[in-house]
Amino acid sequence: MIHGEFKDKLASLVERVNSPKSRDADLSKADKDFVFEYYPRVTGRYFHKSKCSECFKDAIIQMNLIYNKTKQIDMKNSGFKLRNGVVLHSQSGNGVLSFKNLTDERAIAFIVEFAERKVDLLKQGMFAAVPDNYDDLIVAYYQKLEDEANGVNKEPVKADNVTEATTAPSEVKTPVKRTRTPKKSAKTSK
Amino acid sequence: MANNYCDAIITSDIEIDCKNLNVRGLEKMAIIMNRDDIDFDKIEYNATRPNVVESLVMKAGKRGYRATVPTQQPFSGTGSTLGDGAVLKSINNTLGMLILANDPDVCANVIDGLLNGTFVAIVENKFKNMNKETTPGDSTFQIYGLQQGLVSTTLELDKYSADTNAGWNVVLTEEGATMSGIFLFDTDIATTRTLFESLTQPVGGGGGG
Repeated sequence: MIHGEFKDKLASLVERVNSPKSRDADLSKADKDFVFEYYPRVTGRYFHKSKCSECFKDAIIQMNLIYNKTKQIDMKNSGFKLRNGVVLHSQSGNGVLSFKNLTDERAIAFIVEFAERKVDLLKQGMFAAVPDNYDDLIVAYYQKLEDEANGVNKEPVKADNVTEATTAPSEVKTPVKRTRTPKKSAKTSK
Repeated sequence: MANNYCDAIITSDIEIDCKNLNVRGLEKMAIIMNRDDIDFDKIEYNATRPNVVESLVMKAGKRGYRATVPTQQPFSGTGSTLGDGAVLKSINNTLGMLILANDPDVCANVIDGLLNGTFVAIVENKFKNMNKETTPGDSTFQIYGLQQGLVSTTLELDKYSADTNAGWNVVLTEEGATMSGIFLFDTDIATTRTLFESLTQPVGGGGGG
């Protein structure tokens, strides 16, 4: 989805959820997938579906508020590339990962999610390429999770650019097995 | 242990949905892959529907290629027929294709390959089957050549043919398939179309876009 399409989609969702009688149940699966995919990219925080009855509606309103303020969305892809034909399905509510929505954050999130299920996506060759700063991205991901768990408020992610992922893929590297505990000397990748 | 004679039996009613009738024809764009470029170890079939492929991945560094036939009846000649088998009957699939071009690059990059290669093709049916209750859209993409591979059985060029505009008339045939039809479908039509489109993404180091 290009930036313009994102704006149009968000605007249409905002119009629907602003209706007094709107509910999460009125949203389609595609609408919810949109929230899962773009909420982190706009707010810099992960969207966790909890037991609240209006989670998606609240998330859409929040996305709109932040996006209207920053006018930015993280589309950054430092060099991840999936093998042709690969479409990965999350079992944690993160939708699907494909060449269309491949960003650093989503790639790392899927790699970590699958690793927790004892599936090494890199070893299986699902990625044709990973960026040179792959290790840094992994560390940054866990650091962000830790910050969120500790309730640390973060500024929305400000991408250097808002274009589609265009970084040329680098060579596939030997995957690094990661534990949940981030390194103390974590540094951000941005 | 019970004997398994591979009994061929029908297991559902033969009915039609008058509000969802089959529509003939194919869309103008299909994908053709070198069969050796497919990672067969990673093919996944639906657990309960053996004629549905849910995952089809290319080998590292490989891609499929778009084939566009911008005519009124794209890929005319595509279909399936009963094949005789010495032991068991089978299905023969054919993919008809017009290549409305003839130049050194087309010959080198396409025709010469079609001559002796083995291929798998994915076509998009005009009949999407979107009105069905469960798995709408699962009739959209159909795979030919997955079991035995498609090989060229017609490869001809007539400099004066009005039908081909002096291009190449190609027929690829798969003989001896055991399944009457194999469809590509993953979760829903949007996901499946993404999978379809992902097969032809450029790979690093060339190969064309």
